[in-house]
Amino acid sequence: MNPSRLVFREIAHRKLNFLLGAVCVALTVFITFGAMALLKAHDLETRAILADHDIRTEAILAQLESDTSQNMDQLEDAIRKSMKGLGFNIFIYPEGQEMAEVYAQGFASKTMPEEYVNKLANSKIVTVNHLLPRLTRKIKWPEQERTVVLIGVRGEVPLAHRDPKKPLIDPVPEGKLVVGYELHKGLVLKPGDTVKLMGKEFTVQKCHKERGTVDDITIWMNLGECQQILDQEGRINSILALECNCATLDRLGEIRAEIGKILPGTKIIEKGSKALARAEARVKAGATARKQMIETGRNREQQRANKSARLASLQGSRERMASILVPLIAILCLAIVGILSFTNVRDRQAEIGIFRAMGVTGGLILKVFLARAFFLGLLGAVLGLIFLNLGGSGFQEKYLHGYALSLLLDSRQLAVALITVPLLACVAAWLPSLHASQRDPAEILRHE
Amino acid sequence: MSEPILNCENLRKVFSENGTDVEAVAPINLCTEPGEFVSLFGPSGCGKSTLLLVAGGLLAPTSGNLLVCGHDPYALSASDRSAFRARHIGFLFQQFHLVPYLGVLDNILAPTLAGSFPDAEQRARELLEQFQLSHRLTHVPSKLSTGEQQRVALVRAILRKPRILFADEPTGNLDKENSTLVLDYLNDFANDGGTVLMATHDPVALERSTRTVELGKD
Repeated sequence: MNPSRLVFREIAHRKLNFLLGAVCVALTVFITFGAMALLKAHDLETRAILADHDIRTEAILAQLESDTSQNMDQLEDAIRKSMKGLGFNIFIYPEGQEMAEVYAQGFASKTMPEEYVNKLANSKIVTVNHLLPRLTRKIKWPEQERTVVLIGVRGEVPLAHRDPKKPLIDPVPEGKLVVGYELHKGLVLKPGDTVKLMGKEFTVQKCHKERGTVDDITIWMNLGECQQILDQEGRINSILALECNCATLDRLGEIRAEIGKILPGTKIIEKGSKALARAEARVKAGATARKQMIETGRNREQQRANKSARLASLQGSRERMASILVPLIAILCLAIVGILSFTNVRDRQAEIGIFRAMGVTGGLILKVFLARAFFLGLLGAVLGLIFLNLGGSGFQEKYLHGYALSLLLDSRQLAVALITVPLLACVAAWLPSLHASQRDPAEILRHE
Repeated sequence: MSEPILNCENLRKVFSENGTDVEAVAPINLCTEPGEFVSLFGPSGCGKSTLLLVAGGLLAPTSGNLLVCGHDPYALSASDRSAFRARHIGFLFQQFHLVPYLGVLDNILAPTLAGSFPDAEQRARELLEQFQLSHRLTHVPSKLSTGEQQRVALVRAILRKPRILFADEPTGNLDKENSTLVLDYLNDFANDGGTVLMATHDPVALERSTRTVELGKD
């Protein structure tokens, strides 16, 4: 006869007591690991929700960014086109030029060195581009007895520090003229015709369409020839430029400050401010779109934070509840196992007495009772894990958000449970078992 | 004269209950030798059962000296005393105290829990044959008759060949036939050199003993 035989015989004999204890342990294991699985499933679901939110946010922001970028590109292109359509809108006049005179006659009477344009082009100026030097005068065309505006132009002077841009105005080659509408209409001129101006023969290169402005009585010619005719060699009376669309609200102030440093004393004015205001409005719209994008990002971030906080709070509540409920159930289970063990000890008093009388030590009695508790815990743990597995499969969709139990619980935890649960059952049965081992056999036998 | 198996000198047991001392066993001098079948008799409550427990090393006396097989069991540690009981002492009770969930053979082998000894199962089977119980090997006590239960208890008590057997009313629940069987065996046990100390009310049992000791007589 060995103690384990005694243990198993007794278990087989008092099945109900043993099974009650085992079921109690099994329920505790089921509830404990079930709670862990539920919490883990909720945790994973929370992460999935937030990840989904992040993906959506990313997509929304990416779309917004793409839209904004596209809009901005279109906007910038529209501004560029509109600016180009307007032509030059910055005019640089010589030092000392009365602007009233310019406004009255349409050009400056004073001149400045042509070299100024090169100086400007070789500087690192950023607020303007498309520099065009010109010399303008209103003259009497002696051969035709007409008053015309004569403009000498050369090609745009490229900025040294920038990539060359497509010119707004093509240069007029030497010996050629470009003629305004009223002039070519009145004189019946067409490209290729030869015409005399100030005693010099020129070929009509191009005839402009009607513009309804002073351009219709304007002749454009090569700057050098113009300077020669007007006896203004090396002189110009204005430099035209196009302000860049990166300018800020105080763009004119910035332009004046920058040019003033390079060409001190020159007078700078801006034309076409209405169009620029529209451009500014568009720039502002672009900025608003960017701001909206940032705002959307912030809102989404805030939503995420709120959602995360709500889910964390919910998870926290669940964890708090589990942290109270699970230990309570575990304690209750331990108490029940303890009570059942105590009942078992009480039922086996005569047996304990006779065993002790036969010379069985209290230590062996203790081991027998603890072994019984160990097997009870082991069976309970196994049953609990089986229940858990069955429950996990059955309620995977309903309660575990579709996560498999194997994903929610670490197999090592389950393995540890198979060791710790029986040990806990031993702890629960410790006091009754100790009581059994220390019972006075004489006392038992006297009363039996 | 051989060495006494049991030697009690002024052995006395007093229980304190609710602050009152109750003398369960009045001072007694008793010496038994191998081969003796001693019966204790007297009125209920005179301390017969208590004396058996004290002499059996289960209940420490209040005063007096006790030697069992030349040793004072109460001078031994608890575990040594358990081992001493397992080696030298057998108990037989009126209520049999069989383990309800063990079969006959397992009940008989239960003393081996206290320490194995050679050929225990073979001896158990021989004894079961001798006591006409070999057909009941796997039966649990509840399936046995009263007489069979007492025979199982007797076989269990003598399995480890104790030198002294303490029997408390062993025939109290038995019919005449089974009583005779048990008393015959106790007689044989004594004749084979063992010592029997039996508490009984049964006149037949008293007649079968080699010596009687009356307790509770002032």
